[in-house]
Amino acid sequence: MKKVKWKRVGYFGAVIGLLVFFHYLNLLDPLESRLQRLANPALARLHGFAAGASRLYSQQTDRRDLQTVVAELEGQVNRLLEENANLKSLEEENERLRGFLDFAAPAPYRRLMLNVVGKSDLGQANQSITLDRGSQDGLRPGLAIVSQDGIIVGKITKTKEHSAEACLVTSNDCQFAAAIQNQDRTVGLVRGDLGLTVKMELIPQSEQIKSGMTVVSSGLEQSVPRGLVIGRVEEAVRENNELWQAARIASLAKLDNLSIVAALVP
Amino acid sequence: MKYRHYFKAIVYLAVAAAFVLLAAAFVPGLPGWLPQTDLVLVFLLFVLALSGLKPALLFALLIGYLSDSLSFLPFGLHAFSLLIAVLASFFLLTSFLTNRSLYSFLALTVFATIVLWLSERLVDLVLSSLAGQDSHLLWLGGGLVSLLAKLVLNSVLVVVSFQLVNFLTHKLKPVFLAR
Repeated sequence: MKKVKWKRVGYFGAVIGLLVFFHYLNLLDPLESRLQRLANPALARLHGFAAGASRLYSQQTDRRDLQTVVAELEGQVNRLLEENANLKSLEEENERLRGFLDFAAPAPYRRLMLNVVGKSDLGQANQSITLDRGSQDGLRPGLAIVSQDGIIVGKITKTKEHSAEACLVTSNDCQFAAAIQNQDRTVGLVRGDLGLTVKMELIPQSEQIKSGMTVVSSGLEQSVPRGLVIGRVEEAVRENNELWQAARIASLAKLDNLSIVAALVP
Repeated sequence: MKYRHYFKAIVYLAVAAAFVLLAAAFVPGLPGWLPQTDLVLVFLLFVLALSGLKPALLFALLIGYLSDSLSFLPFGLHAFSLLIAVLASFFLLTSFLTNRSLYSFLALTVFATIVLWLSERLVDLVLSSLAGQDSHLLWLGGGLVSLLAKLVLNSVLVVVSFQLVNFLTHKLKPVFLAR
C-alpha cells in the first residue's frame, strides 16, 4: 500500500492557505484582475457555444407546441398594437405637459451590453449569472440587468474589476420595488421564489389583482429606472380570513439561454 | 533539463486553464442536467490513477486557484475542497481499489463525488462564517438533487473516458503473466 507523504500534502495545504491569506490582503488583486481579463473572451465564446446547443435542444423539444404558441402570440400582438397606439398618444401628451411646466426629464440610463460567461450550479443557494465586465466599466451592486427585449432579468449583486455577478429575477435573493399596472396602481416588493417564479406579497385584500396584469419596476429604487417590465401576474393568491393577498408573477424573460444582456447604468 | 521542467510547468498550466474555462463557462451553459457534470473531478481522478498523487495535487492546486479567481464563491473553496477530494480518493485507491478496472473507477468516482460535495459545503460553511456571511451552497433540496445528478453524470463520463483511455494507451489494460 502506497503511503502518503504528509510533508508534501502539508506543503500543498500551506500554499493554498498562503494564497487565500494573500487574496484577503488584496496582494493578489493585480494577478487575479489580469487572469479575469484574459479569461473573459474565452469564457464568453465557450458559454455562447453551450447556450447555442441549449437553444437547439429547446427548439427540438418545443416543436410540437409551436402551433399553439403561434396562435397565442398572434392574439397578443394584436392587443399590444392597440396598447402601443394608446401609449404613443399618452407619451406625446406627457412631453407637451412637461414642456408647459418646464419639467426636466429624468436623466437617461446608459445601456452597457454584457456577455454572460457563466451560470450558478443547481446546488447553490441562489441562481446567478456571471458577466464579462465589472467595476472598471461602471458596474456596481444594485444595477438592473435587462434582456435584449428590455425585460428585467436580474440585478447585479457583486462586482470584481473585470467581472460581475447578477442574481436572476427568480432567485430568492433578488428583490425589486415593483408596481402592478392595475387601477389601484399597487406597489410592493417582488422577490424570486424557488428559482421558478416571482412573488409579490403583502398586497391589501381590497386591491384588485387579476391574471394577465403587467408588473413593472416602480422607480422607488435608486438604481432601477421606472417602467421596466418584470413579468405578468399568473395568479392572485388570497385566503378569505387573511388581511393580505399575494400575486404569483411569471417572468417574461427567457432565463435559461441567456448569452447577451444589458446593464442600465445611470 | 531545466527547459524540460519549464515546458512541463507550461503544459500543466495550459491543461489546468483549459479545464477551468470548460467547467466555468461551457458546462454550465449546456441543456438539461448536463451542467451538473463535474469535468474537473473526473480529470483529477484519471490523473491520480494514471500518474500518481503529486501530479493530481498539483492540478488540484492550479485548477482550484484559477477557479477561485474567476468565481464569486468564498476564495479558497475550490482549492481546499479539491485537495481534500484528491487525498480521500488516493486513500481509497491505494487501500481498497488496488486494481485499475472500470468497476474500481466507478466506485472511486462515486466516493470522490460525495467527498467533494461534502467538503465544498463544509469549507463554504467555515469561510462564510469567518466572513460573516450566509452559506452559499445548499445542503438539502437543490443540493441533494445536484449530488444525485453529479453521481449519475460523473459515472457516465468516467465510463466513456475509461474506454477512450483504454483505446489510446495501455495503462489501464490488465497484465497477464504467462507461465
